[in-house]
Amino acid sequence: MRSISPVMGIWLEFAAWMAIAAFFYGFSFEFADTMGAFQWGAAAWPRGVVLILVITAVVHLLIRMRALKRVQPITDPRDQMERAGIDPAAALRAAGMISIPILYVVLLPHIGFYVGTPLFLIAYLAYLGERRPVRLIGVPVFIYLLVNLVFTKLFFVALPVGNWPGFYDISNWLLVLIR
Amino acid sequence: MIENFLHGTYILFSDPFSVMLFVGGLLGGMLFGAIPGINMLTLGAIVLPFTAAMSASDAIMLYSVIYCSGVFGGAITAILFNIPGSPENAPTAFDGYQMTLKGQASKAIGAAVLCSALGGLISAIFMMTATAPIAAWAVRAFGPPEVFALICFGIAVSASVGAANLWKGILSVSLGLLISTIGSDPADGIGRYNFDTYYLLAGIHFIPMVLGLFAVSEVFAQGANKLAGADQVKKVSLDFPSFAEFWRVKITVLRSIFIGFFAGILPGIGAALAAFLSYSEAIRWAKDKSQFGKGDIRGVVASETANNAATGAAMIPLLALGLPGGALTAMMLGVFQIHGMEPGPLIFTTSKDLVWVVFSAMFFANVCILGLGYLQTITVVHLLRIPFHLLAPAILLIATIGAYALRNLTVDIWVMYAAGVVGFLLRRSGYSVAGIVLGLILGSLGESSFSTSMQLLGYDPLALFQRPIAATLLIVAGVTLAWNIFSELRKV
Repeated sequence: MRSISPVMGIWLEFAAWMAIAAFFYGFSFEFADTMGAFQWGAAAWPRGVVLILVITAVVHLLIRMRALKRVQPITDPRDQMERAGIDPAAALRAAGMISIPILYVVLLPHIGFYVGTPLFLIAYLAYLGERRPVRLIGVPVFIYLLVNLVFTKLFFVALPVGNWPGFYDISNWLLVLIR
Repeated sequence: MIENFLHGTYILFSDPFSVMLFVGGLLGGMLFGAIPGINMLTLGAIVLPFTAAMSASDAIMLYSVIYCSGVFGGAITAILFNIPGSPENAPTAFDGYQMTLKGQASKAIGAAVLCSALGGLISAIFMMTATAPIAAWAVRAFGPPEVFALICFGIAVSASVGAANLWKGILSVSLGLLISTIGSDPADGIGRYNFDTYYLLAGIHFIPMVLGLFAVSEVFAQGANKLAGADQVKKVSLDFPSFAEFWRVKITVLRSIFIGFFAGILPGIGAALAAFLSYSEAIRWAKDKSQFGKGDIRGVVASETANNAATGAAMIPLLALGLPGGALTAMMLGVFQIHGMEPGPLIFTTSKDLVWVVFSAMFFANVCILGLGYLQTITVVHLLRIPFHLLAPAILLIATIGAYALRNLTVDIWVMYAAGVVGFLLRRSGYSVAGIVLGLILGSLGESSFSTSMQLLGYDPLALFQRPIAATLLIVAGVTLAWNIFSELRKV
């Protein structure tokens, strides 16, 4: 797969900052009333910050484009990564790593903490490269027992029990068992 | 002072629950500071929801102990793995990690233990003697314009800390400032960016944001390294520096204590800037500069002495003015709010016991660092050998529970993961998550003091310069920012 070029990366980053600025500036008109106790209104402060953000982002863009043209030596490793561009394969792997906990959170209200957590722990370990069956099962069991001991039994934290048929019953059965 | 100190010590150690919290905070701070991927902020964020069930005195004491031990604990990972637990340990890694590569990891850790304890102890003594006079002076001298000017100064000086360059630092802080505007405005309570939802009207909650930006993004960052095959585990041993070695760096220690204490007082800066300033001053004053960055023990000494010296000093603006100096002191501010209290000059009369329990706890925490530093080094070393991929799901799970337990809302978990993804992407691009958190914290304080100031000064911003303290702070902030911009532009 081809890497995203450094120039493209810089423009994408700039576009992201401009989108943030546009979002905060655009929606500030919904509360731009100046009739309150503070005469400049509730929009004055966020608009001031947006202005600082836009100026800084533009200056930063110009400096980076100039630096790329000159091919200066870069001392910060994060800037070296920037010059090398973005590797799509690495980005895809990172996306997978981020997706697992996101999927866990999506399912959490439906399948509950007590059923969903062991599956999440095993899936995450496996994704990060663990293949040994003893660790793949043993580590999640240890973490699951420890977390439940501390948060469910000791601190009585009310964790989600799920709302899909079956999962709710299993979660409640486990909850009673732990407590 | 001694009477108050003894009284605070008595209260601290006469209650078994307080002693348990003290020991837990001490060990927890050291442990969380030392384990790669998490730090004292993770522990602070996880503990925060549970402080509601504690007394205010116990809760604040717990955080002050975590602060002392956590700042030290972060040095371990900085030295062993080149992973600073937090920005304040970053300069420690410059030379500490090089010492590890040269097989002198134990000497670097030994220097960190000794200097952290020394810096923290002297700072704690300064704090006990200086906080009350500063608080008394603050009542008369610090109004909303001065607080606003102080925040401007804090933002101006701290803008680039933790970021690859000044511009990315300013952008990070700006993002934090913008996020802080979500919710009701401080002057009239008008809803902003809330899209008619009850959740956003109260603003973005601080705890899920901190958990996401620090704990979750760190797990993602480490996980990405693991998937790329870039992680590695190293061997360590224990060998404290000799007295002769320590005596040779005495001037560096004294200078670093002074710098650390001064920088720690400044809100929005705290230990991070203290460590960076101290490190650069150590280089500036050294006769032989050639070894810095290649494994010079003076680099570790300067950074670790200063960042721990800043812990005591950071309590002064927090307690006397209600201004947090960093992410953990901001959490302490959150603890005060959870208990319906507002730190400020009056706290020295309304909650004298609380203040002296905190002072005593910080003093004894630093004494304990000296002893426990040795124990930690020979025990935590084994934990550090646990491969990161085995720790990662546990960290995510605890963070998830911490965010959910706050208000029993799944949306808090969503905020945490969103912050985690944003933090992960921004860190990889050289932005500073510490800057975002500082912007988030200082934003609401800054806006509130700004709107009050303008109402007091008849909406004339130039009137800020008619007040000597505010004018001085704003001018120094302007000069600092201008100098930083000039230095940055010279690199182009």
